[in-house]
Amino acid sequence: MSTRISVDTITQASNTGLGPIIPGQVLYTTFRENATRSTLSASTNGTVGTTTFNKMYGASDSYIIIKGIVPGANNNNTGSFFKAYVDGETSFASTYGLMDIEASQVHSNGLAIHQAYYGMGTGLHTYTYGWETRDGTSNVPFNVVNPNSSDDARNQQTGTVFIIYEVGINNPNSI
Amino acid sequence: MSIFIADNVQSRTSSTAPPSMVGHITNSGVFINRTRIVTSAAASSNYFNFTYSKQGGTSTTLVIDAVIPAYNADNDLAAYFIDIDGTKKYTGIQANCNATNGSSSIQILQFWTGLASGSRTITFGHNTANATSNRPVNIINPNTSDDGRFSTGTVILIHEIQQ
Repeated sequence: MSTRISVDTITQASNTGLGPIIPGQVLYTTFRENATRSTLSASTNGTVGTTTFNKMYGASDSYIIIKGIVPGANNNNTGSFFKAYVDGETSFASTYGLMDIEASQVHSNGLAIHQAYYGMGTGLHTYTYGWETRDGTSNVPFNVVNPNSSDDARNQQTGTVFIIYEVGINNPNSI
Repeated sequence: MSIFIADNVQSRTSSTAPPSMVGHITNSGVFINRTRIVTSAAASSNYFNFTYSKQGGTSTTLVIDAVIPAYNADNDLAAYFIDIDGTKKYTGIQANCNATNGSSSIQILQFWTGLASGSRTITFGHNTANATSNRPVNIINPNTSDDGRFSTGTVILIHEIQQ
């Protein structure tokens, strides 16, 4: 048995060895994990971490969904001043889709990430996640990234996780 | 106009997938649990488990993406884990950790490589690193017995992705 699919909704990828571009389907996935404890210092802006991913299809063929959780702890200055961007702040900047989960205690708190980026070409891209206060005051979203038993003896080593999905699009102009 | 796609390109066998499927979601599952659970204050405690039938052998990665409602966080600490067939990964961030008699929630995002095909038992719970009795939250999936306004449930999405 076979199925016929219209060329209006499926095209062959230009990259050899990759599957066809099917709108709405996940075309490629990148997994990232980091379980190393680190500390942050208060500033008007700063970087919590960076990671990289390869985009396999062209800007008009697919978009990127970034999902992540970043455990954090030990700060009373919870606030929505996270920011994240791809390939530098002027390329694909976004301050949205980042949620602070009460990092005021030594519990498994932190940052929840749920973002989408469009118009990105093929190749290696760098994702940066950090913070910047709107009013220029010195602050920090949390003091410890990936807290462990050195913060509280009951704590296991926690880790940052990113799942980066590349999803096919049919008509990028409609986004 | 249309193009013809052969069966061996668009279908997946039980153990392998064609090269063109690399990076694709090859199988998915949804687990929903609306049963209220009173957690234990033991150093290690399993809250609930379920089974997932893994299709792609060790060539697929399993992604677990979940939101778990909770209640009465009580300001204690014990790391949440996802256990698959006896191996734990510590994951999860929790909102509103000081919510004595209040709502809380736990967000999970984790991935697993190298799991064989077949029935995999997935367990969610907590475990303290120093073996002290503790619990980060008292209730999972709170309902009207906790607060007349509540109606909650856990939703866990599972994606199996070809490598």
